[in-house]
Amino acid sequence: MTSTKQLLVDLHVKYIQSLDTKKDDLEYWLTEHLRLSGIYWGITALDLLKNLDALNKEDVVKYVVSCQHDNGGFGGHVGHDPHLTNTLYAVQILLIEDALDAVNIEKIVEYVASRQDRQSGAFTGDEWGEVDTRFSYCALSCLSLLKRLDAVDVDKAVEFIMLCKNFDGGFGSTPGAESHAAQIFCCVGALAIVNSLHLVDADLLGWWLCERQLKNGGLNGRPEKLEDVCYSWWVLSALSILGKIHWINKEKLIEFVLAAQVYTLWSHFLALTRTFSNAKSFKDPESGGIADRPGDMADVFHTLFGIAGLSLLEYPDLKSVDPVYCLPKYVVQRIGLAERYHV
Amino acid sequence: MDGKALYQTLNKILDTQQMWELFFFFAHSTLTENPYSILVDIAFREEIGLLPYQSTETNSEIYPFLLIGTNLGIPLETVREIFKFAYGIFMKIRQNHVQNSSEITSSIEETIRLLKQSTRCLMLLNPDFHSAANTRKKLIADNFLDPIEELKLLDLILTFPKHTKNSTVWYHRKWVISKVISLDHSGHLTRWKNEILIARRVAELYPKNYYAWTYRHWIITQLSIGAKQFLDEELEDMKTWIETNVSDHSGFHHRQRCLVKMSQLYNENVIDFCGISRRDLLGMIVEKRMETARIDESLAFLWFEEIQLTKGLILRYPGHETLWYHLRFLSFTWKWLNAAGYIYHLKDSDIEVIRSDEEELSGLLKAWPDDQSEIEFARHCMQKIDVLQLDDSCEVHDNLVKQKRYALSYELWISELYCISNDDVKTLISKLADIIPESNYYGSRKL
Repeated sequence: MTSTKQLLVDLHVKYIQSLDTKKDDLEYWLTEHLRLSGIYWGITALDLLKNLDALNKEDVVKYVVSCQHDNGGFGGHVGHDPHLTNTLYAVQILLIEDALDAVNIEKIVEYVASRQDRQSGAFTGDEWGEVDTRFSYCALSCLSLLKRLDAVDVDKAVEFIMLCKNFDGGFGSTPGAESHAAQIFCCVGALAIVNSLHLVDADLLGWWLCERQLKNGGLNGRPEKLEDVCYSWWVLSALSILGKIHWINKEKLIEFVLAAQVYTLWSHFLALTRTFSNAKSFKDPESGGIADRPGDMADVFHTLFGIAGLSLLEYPDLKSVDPVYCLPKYVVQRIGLAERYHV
Repeated sequence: MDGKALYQTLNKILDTQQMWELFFFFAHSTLTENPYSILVDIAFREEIGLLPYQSTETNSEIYPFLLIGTNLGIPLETVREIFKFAYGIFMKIRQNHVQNSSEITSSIEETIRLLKQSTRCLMLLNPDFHSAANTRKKLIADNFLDPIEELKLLDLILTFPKHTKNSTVWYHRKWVISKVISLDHSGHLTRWKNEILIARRVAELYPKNYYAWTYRHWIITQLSIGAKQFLDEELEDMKTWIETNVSDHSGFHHRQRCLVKMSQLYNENVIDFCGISRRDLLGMIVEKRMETARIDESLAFLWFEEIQLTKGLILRYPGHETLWYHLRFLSFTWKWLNAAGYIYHLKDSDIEVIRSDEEELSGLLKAWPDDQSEIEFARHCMQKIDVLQLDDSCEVHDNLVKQKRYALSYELWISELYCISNDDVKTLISKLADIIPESNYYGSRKL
């Protein structure tokens, strides 16, 4: 492996396409409960790479529909229990494919609304009661995309999120939990959706988020943790929503994300040579995709958040991403939602 | 061996043996030929904590599994087959349940047994599989599964580092222990103590594990007012922890939660600081002191001692962001307690100072915390480095550069917390922009 200064678009497209063909791999089985989220990560990455067609729309929509339960919620895979996070992923995928009419929207709204604890305003992931600000984001994002925020108590939802704010301006998963960049994305995103960004201690939080950038350009999610490509999304999107993305050193971060791309010289060569594009060698699982940091194995989660981060950094030839919804901007515009991130 | 035989052997072991630790292993021979794949394989195996292990006795009853003392070893190459088999049983029962079909003619007892066994294997191999965890909660709720036994299974699962890094398994534990506590009206403290030990062990196994620490905060919130001794022990334990893990921000954050809880035990009107950030504190200064507040010596001692302890650690271990962030938190809480009227200036003779070998430091640490003392401390740390930097021993050098940066940003933090004049803040930002040229933050604020 050598380092590269370019985004290997073709290779990443092939990598995402190959994910569903590895039924012999242990990883395939151990991540089955994440299949729906995997499709969201993959399809969003493909769309940002201007390659949405690389996965068959009909198959994708059919699969998503098959994950819905009678109560309106979606499971992580066919036959798996419904969960709020998967319900958001399903809506996001259907919006990208412009196929929301394939499912019963009223049922989804009902499911999401039933997840709110009306007393605290918090949302539970499923009927077994786990509370987390991630779920507040999932619920508000989902309902906003369906234009049905009226189905929940928004004031209460905001009240709960604000209880999770810490002295440093950051947010944790529950009241009193440590500030964490991914939770900050969820809370700031959720507040943006319900027009409550004025509640964020923006200058202080912006400072904390900038302090996440390390000397090698990468970002970590908490103090004295290792850098990780996914924080190129969690930290950057939050800064972007707060209108402070220029506080990050873009050049160094782009360099870091590009260095986390996984490829072998041989497969890189093959990807560039379209004649070979159907060659068996593409099944080589070690090529394409982005890892958490340079030198590690790729996965579709880091592939999306690397690419989405690059999109926020205005890397050339990528579609723009919406920092609040983590969807291509044109998708959010297509359904007529206003940009929520101008403070 | 096929999936069924492996599944049965594993279940037999789980039914008959008492095990405390779980590991996965691989035989060297399973490495593939491709040299690049070998590298990836090794990296992957290291990352998830697999052990290389050569032989297992083929004539053993538990072959190909290993039992070494109380440790259960599962060969990596069997995981897929066991998982697929268990998954097949689990899904079939669920489907039949949904379709209300009588295809499974066996009794309810048999179905429950199959569910228990299959979900146990699924959880052991992949505790993030939340449908399996949910099914087990349902079995517990319906009295088909003993929650105490479930805790033991979770104890085992949480000994494998990779398994500790997902929220499903921690929430499952939270749900199960809540159930146990609700059924058992005595001995709560012993149970909570055990949960602390589990969270602590996981934090050792997988440092800075967000879920383990959040779980540990949650335990503290479950304590009743009378649990002062429990909290004393936790604070003592955390003191040792932070002194030996100075870059573990999660550990420090937990200590902060304990300090706040202790303050509330001293004085129930002290807030829990949830949802309060700098902006809220700045807004509070102009308001009147809280009517419920009363001066409390034990509160002053608790927080002042912590400030001294932290400054001592900063001087001993230069260049740790975590220590400086902790000091930011302490200065913040200190200012809040002052503004709310809980703290008065103790007499110098009342102040116990942490002993320091250097005479000059004692004075520095003993200083009553306010804006001046904090700025003085930050400047002391910077001056010390300016002198030392002439010496270019490399490894230490990096930490000293960091120390300077953190000290300077602490001065900025204090200046903004105490609303010190704009000119001073501007000078500080210019200095920071100079020493951290790669940061756009200070560069942008300078303009």
